[in-house]
Amino acid sequence: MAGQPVIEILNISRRYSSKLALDDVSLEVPQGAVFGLVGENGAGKTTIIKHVLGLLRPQSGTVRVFGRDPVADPVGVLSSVGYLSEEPDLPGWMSVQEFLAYTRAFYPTWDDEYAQELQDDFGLSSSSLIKGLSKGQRARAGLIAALAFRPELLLLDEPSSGLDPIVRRDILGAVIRTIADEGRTVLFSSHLLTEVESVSDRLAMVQKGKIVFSDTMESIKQTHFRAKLIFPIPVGNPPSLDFALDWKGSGRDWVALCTGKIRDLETWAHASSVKIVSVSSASLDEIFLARVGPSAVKSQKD
Amino acid sequence: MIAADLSARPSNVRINPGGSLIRSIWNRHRQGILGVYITLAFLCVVVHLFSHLAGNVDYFFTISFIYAPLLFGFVYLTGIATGAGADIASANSGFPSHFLLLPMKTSSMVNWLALFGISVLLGTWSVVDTLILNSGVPLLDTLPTLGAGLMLLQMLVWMPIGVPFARIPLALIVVAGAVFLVMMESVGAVPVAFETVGPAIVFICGLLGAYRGVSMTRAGERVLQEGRQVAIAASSAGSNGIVFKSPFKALFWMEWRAHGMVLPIVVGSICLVTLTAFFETGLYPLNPIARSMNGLESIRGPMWLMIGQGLPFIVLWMAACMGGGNANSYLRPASASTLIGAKFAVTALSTLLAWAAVVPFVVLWLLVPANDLGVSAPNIVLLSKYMSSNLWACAALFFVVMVLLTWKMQADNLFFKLSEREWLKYVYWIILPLIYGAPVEILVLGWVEPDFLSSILGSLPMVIEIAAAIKCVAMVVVCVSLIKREILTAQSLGKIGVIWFIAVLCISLLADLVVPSGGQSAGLIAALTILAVPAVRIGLAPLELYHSRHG
Repeated sequence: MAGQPVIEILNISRRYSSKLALDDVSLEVPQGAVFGLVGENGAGKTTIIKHVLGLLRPQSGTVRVFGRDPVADPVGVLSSVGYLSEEPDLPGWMSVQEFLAYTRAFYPTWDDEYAQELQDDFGLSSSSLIKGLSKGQRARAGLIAALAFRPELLLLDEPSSGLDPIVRRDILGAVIRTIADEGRTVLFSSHLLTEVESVSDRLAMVQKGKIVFSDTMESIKQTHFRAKLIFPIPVGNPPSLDFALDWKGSGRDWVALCTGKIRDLETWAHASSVKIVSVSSASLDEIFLARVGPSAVKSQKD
Repeated sequence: MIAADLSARPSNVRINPGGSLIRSIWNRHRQGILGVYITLAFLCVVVHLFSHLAGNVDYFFTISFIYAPLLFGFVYLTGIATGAGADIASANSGFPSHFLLLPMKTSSMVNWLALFGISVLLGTWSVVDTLILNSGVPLLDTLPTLGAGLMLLQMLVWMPIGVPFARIPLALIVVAGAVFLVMMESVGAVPVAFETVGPAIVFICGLLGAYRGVSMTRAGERVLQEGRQVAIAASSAGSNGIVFKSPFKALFWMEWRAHGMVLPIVVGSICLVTLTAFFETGLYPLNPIARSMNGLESIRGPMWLMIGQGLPFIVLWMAACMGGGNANSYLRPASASTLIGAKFAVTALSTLLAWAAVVPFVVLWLLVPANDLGVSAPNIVLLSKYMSSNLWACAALFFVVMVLLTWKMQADNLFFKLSEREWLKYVYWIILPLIYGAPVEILVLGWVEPDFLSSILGSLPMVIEIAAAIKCVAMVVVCVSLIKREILTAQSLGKIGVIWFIAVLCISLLADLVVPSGGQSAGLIAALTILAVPAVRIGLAPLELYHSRHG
């Protein structure tokens, strides 16, 4: 197990009738990582997570979780995986207490004290029926079920939906960090980039069933920057440069979202008589838009 | 949703709000309603064709073939009239929630929906009684009572009663009461003054109750709200400290709570209503039913209705309602064999309880007074004149076979319920009626063409033996698939195979001893046994679960 990635996805593809949902996706999630999966709605994030859970069998390629095939060995894999989705599919007729007792039966590592602690923190009444809970409370109940057996791998599919901003920041952030600190692994998908930025140490961007970019968060921040430029004469379209992912502006004033080293930008600016007004770090929102937004799609087509 | 429903009409046509409500219901349920009417038309043709071909046919014999689809047609229409799929066990109102926000007065909304429901139900009943049943009971005598009963039922479903499940016994009392009153009216046992005034009073009470219920629903209030808190507290007290020792026990509990009680409750409810009706027929012989039964009104009727066609149809229908796939359980670390094992165990317990619910009603029915050739006595006394000890033994054996058949039908249909393949559902619902209806179809064709019947009967042994051989091949294919997907080990399958083989052998030997010798070979009996003992579809259930779980 030492050194082996917790999740190893190799060249998986998935097609739903005529739509290609995943196209030759490969991904590795190392042990102890908090891995963010970002992309637009319908990009393929949930499909990747379903493959990890064994809820979808790869039409081509392989998926290994803890070195096991989740389809061939669902018991071996799922007993170490906690999962929470955007709309947790919880049986509405059960009370919170019944739901937790039911879930407990499947996990020998279930920690009653931890479950009670979480339930108290979240303010969930044992006797409440799940169908009577609000969306946020249902997400909390699902989160307890996903955490109380202290899973080796936590999968969160758009977990923020339904949680108000304060709870989202305090509870989810604390949970993810705690698990990661204990050497456990987290894979979560989201389209809320600020949330991903605050908790992830690795990131993959998914677009139309493909992973278009993947790196550590530290490296992403180091290699992406925003440069404010003044051209000597007004230009209609800025030049196409390898290191410039996206341009915004008009006339002489332009802002470039760049990747790579600042030295490359400085060399080009000097040669083209372009003045660099300022250089600042780029937000994940900007990087995401530059990598998978409309302009990126256009440049990929070109 | 309602906006979408209403937007379906042409924009230049203005209809009043009530018309919009009815149009919305029609848009949502038109396929089902049309299905019911097409079925009723088909039944009408079948009944008249049957009467024409068979001449002076027994009234109850005819009814037995159409009883179940008729019953379910009316249950479906009543469902639409009262709330269209409302959860009557819920503490919430069953009034269609998408109507509540419309800018209409509560009374107007209730009036239109009540009018729609009563028109559809009573209109359908009138047509069915005139064209199919010919009960001989004047429609004007029964319609006010049925209308009042339906209004009361609508009020019950629409009233937000805070205590879960409280609505079910109340609804059963209303239905049994309506049937009782119709029976009483039909034999003139109800004073004329009450016949006229009684239904009117009940109708007005039901309507006023419905106004109140829907008005409370719109305001987010409930009757017996405190009862709801008590019921939830009592329910959670029952599950205090609940611990499941294994995933199987947790799954069994979950499946049982979600689906297990449905069959016993439905069967018990039908028994209650049927018994009420036959208790009354025992006391008051009806015309022309009594005539057609030659005085044995309380024995042959239940035999045809309950045993002939009704229960298999109900069980078939219930099989489709038994627990299908569950995304939450698919995410739990449990093997496919554990998941499916819990489902099979729940169907077994459900079957046993359903038949256990029948037993007290059969005992009660045996004690009900009846008339036989001018002699009045309880059914058991009248029956004992005809039943030898061998026949009682056969009746007991029949009961055991029915219990096994009930489980078999549920277990056999589980694979279909678990499947997420759309095409399979269409194919299954086309093939299933053909298979189960085959004996009737052959019988009817044989009536028309006796030569055809004899040729069919002549080739039947060969057809049965070929079918058994095909089933054996299918069993091998299913076993290979189960091993290949690691759902069951070869060792476990071997054990199951031995049990299956012993069951086939024992039943074949028993059948060889019991069935009077008619020249049929041991091979034919074995082939019939192979076809009867479940195997292939039960084996398909874990395969379909595996397929649904892993996409």
